[in-house]
Amino acid sequence: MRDFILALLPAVFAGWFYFGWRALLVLIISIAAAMATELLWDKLVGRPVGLRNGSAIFTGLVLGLLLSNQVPWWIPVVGALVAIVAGKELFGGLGNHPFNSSLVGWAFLAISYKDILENYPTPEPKFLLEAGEFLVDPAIYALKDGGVDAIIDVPWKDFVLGNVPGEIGTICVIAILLGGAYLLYRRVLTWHIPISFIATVWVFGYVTSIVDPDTYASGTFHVLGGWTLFAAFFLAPEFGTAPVTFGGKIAYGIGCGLLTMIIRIWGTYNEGVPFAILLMNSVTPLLDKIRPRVVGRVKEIA
Amino acid sequence: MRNGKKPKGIPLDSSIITVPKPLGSDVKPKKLVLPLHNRWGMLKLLVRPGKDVSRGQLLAEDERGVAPPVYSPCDGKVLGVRAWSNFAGEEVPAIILQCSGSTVQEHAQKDTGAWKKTDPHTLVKKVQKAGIRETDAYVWPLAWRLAQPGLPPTEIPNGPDISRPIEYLIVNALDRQPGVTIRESALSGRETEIAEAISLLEHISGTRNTILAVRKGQPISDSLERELRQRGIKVRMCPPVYPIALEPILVQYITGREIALPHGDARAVGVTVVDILTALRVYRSIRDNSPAFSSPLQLTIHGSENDYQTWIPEGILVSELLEQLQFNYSNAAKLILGGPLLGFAQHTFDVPITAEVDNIIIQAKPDVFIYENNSCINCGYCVKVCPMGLMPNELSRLCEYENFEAAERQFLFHCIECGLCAYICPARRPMVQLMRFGKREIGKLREASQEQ
Repeated sequence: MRDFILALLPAVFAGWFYFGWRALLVLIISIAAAMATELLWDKLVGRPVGLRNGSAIFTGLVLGLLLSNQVPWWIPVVGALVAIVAGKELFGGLGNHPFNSSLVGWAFLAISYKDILENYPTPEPKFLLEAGEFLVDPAIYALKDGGVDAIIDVPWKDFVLGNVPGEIGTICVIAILLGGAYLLYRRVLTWHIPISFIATVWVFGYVTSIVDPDTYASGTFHVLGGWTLFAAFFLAPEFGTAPVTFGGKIAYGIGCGLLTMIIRIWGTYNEGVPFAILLMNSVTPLLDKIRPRVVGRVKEIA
Repeated sequence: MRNGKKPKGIPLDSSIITVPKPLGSDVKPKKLVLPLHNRWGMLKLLVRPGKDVSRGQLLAEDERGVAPPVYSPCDGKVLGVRAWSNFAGEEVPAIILQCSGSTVQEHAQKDTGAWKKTDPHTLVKKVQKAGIRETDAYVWPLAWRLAQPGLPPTEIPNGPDISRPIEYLIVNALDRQPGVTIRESALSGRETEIAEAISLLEHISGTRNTILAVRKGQPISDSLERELRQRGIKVRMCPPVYPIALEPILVQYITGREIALPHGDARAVGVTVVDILTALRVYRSIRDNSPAFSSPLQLTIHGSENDYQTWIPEGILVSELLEQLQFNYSNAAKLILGGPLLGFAQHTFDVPITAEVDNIIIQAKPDVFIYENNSCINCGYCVKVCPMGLMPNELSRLCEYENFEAAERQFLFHCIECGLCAYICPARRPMVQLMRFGKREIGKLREASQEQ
């Protein structure tokens, strides 16, 4: 868990860089609420109260990174409460919950307080950069409202550096890739889920953009814009919600990618990623049946 | 020869240098404890308690002729036979010997070439009588793994099947686990003896392919290379990944063949694996025409700068061995017999060291790893690292909830107890202990249902 939190620090820095101290405040409130909820839960069920394995900090941090910096203070508190209790502790703690805990909290907020959440300001970089002017709404929202024309002119540089409106943690591609590279280097994450997720999204986008370039955005846009990269490294592979076998992981990544694109292109919700992941989480136990090959298996002789 | 793919695992660290620390040539242990029970059953006692015995006398043997017999390593008296905890924590009947003479330490050099003229069947019988116990848990003892087809069939139900000729003889000079380097260090300094030992095994087993498996990157002296080449023994470099030295993985890597588990008989696919130290002990036993009394041991003691290597008489207690070698173990927190990954933690220092133990580790408090009673967090690291392709997260949960039938269906018995899942588990679960618990409980259930 410590490695995951360390890997999120570049994204936290990017969030502060573009969205200021209020972004950090949202993160702090979210983490504090998550930790408080877990401590309260430990007390209620009679467990020794302690930091445990840092997973509450991680859930709180990820939930905060999925929010805009303009949300009122009670939104991350409610979200963290639901994420920890309904998303994690009721099922038995880290690794035993079927759904990604941060996404459970986020989904609760997104459905109950949709308008409050969808309040994305333009980024104001602290130094060196000018504020990105091409987009007023986050990239995927702009695509759904205005079509491909609305996003065709956005330079890739803006996405890569994070100079676009959006949630605190999901905007800066470089920060996310740095964190992801750290996780892969430390081998706490294997490449299967991130790569299959990102590749599926890219291929789907590429194929649709070739078929009809006026209606569908390119694969690169779908990978760089929105939550794709953040989810591929930090949301999809969470312990307990993703399969553990090789075949299961590849199938899971491909499924997440397909569902993301389907919801983004033909669904009502703007950002398909969280619901795609929640849906694939429910299929994980089935995907875990794709087992590795056991050495020394004797075929039954009738 | 088919090249297998590199097995899953962790790097085999062979940077530990062992320093020889021989016991005195006339070491007189006060007491020797020789277990009578092994995985092939009980040995039949041939001496009465209270009787005097002489060095080299046969004390117990297997009536069926399968398990290796037990000889007395010294002159002395049989104090009695009672239950004693062996290195695996099992209470087994054991002979307690009181020593009045010194134990055999050095073998005198005898006729070195006579074995070449002896026929393999006679040699195999000598091997069986030599009383050699091995570190690895093979399915059949040494003699039966080396025996060529043509020996009179044994009258044991479910006995060893030696009808298939041995196509590959693999002499395993790979270190069994990271940190225990006695096999690798055995290769230096006695080149002719090793080459002769391997040739002897080749002669006994009648195989056409004799392979010495060494670690990639291990320095092999020119003289050893020359001796091996003269005798037609091939050297095969293996990737330095633990658990390459364990039988199913090694056989699959070198020959590409898979041993059918859980029975685990490599002979059924035409392969025999013998480790280098056993080969040396066989050679010495046949050359000197005496049983194998001593076995090699590596000592890893907290606080000493080096690891030590010595040859011990079988049956010596750990407490006595440490006294003889003048090691102070009063602040020891944990004693492990068998190695860091494959070993067993002990509850007392009065446990006998038999040939199955190749390493004793004495840890002080800061070294001890504390397992925690956490639930599985489903991270999947153990699945990634299991060399047998199992799903240890599921198996450990099933054993924990005592759902043993489901665990058996998930190939619990294919587990070779390599310890990699425990090594890598972030929740610090006692993985190997859970697997062993599951296997023992299923064994007990099977016995109970057979008795009915």
